[in-house]
Amino acid sequence: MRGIFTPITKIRRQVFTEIARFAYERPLVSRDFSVLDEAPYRIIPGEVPQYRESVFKERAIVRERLRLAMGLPMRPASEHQPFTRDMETACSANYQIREPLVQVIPFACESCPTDRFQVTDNCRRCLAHPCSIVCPVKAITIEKSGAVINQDLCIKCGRCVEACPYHAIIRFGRPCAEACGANAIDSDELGRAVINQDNCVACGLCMVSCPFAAISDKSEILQIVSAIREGRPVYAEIAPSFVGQFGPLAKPGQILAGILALGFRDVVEVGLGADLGSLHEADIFLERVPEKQRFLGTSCCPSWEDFARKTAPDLDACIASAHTPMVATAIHIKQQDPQARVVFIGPCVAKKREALEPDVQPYVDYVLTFEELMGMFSAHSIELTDMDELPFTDSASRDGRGYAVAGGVADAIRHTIERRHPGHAVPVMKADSLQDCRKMLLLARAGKADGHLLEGMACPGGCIGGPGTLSQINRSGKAVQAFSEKSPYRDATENPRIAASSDEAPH
Amino acid sequence: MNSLFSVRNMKVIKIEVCAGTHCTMLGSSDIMDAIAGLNDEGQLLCPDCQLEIVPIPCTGDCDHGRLSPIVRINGEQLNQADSATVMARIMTMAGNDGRKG
Repeated sequence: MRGIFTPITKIRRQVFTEIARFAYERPLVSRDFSVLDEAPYRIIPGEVPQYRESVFKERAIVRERLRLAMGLPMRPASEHQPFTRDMETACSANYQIREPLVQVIPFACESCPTDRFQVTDNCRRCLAHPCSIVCPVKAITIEKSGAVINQDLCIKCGRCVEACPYHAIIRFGRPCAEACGANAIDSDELGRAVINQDNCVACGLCMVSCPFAAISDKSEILQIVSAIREGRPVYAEIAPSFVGQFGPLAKPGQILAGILALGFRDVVEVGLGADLGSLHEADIFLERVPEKQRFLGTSCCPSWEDFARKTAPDLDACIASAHTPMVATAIHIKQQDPQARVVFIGPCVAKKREALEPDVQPYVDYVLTFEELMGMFSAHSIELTDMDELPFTDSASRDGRGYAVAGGVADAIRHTIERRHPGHAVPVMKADSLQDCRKMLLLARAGKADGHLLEGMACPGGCIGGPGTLSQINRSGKAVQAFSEKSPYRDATENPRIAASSDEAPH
Repeated sequence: MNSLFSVRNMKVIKIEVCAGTHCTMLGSSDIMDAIAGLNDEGQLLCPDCQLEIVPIPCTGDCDHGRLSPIVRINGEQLNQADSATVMARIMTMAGNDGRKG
């Protein structure tokens, strides 16, 4: 449930905290997982079920969530496998999570009916019954109980909804499928939701939309903490949407100090990579649009990029192929310290998938969401408001920090172009949901986007609306803006750190 | 003498919400958003009621998160608070608890 703290949010965060605590406190050479055996009883205490029909089922679901949060696959419900299977393997900095990353926990899914029209008890069985009169396929009959829709006949035109004076007919579907802009929710033989991994672009919105908490993704908390405890130099690169995520009193410099207190070697703003990306994409736009390519689609949202390639392969060449800010920042870190292990910290689930791509893997070692990071703060009892504020060594520009909010990426690239070529017009098209991205691609295919800069984002509101966030979009937007205004540089062209490293930047 | 701008009879309800790590993780920011909404929607509270919402640093009372989130309403502490409980308490204090007559 986006923007509302529910028991689901609580359980998800408790799971992250349990795994983080285990990761920090486990003896490094031990096969004792009893702490995790007990975790479901801490999260679901007592004998009375709180959320489902049985406390045993509640705990069974928590067990699978714990495994996923350790980066492990779920266990099949139809055959015996110990809860602790492969846990020892996962307790290593070198363990790599595998796709699928976003999954339905089958026995947690309540098999909600798929998209349908239904008559509610608002129906008065009225004399006029306009619902049945306007139906073009005679799917509505008036029975003793009131209007009844024959689901086999219904073509979902919605005329009955409009016609009913009592608002008695509603359309509803699976919240997961409604959140999914990529048509990736199918059903299994038992009517439960299952994710079509060919269509899925790992945006993670189904996960935070399921009211039964039946969808989860894999986490790398355990592997990151293992790397830290094994003494490796672990660096964090933090996405610009981080400000305001950890409570209204935690200042950016305190969040930085908190991350260092977790054992990270240093923290770099991803906004720095965003500045590099702005320069690079501005160059492509100036060189190629519209003569050599019809338009330019931005590249920083991996779900949008993935979605565009799958939905409109014919337009593939028009999406920027630059390394994303995440990768550019990781390269910057590894140039300074070749031994570095780089953790991207952001609001994003899709970045977990991007990090597994063969050309990204050498640079980005792990991905963490803000929610997962909060679990680590909690497990380590780090009180951010008690920390001394630390400065960021290399600041990103105002525009680089603005990447976090829908519209910010296009603005940054446009400003860069205008700074270099004053008066050069840059028409922009924007979409911040995959549903709208699909429409934008249709317009592009029809030639309506020629000469444009296209900003695509999967999450409503941009990255601050991502599934791994803790803060409401409005509040985050204000916090990001305030932090952006504090940057000493307006845009990428003013950032001296970028001028120095843009020659080495990957193209 | 009461003037139009008099605040003498204002009924201030002070709500302190812990913004420490455990309490934030367990939803204290969401409680703040929920009650801020009561203020915005004007009609919900009595006309001379005023909500003062203050995020406070970790109180140390949460027993490492076991009692989080911590909320204090006019000094009275609520443990394991949630939006629904806090809002109901405020509505009662503001004379609009949903019960008619």
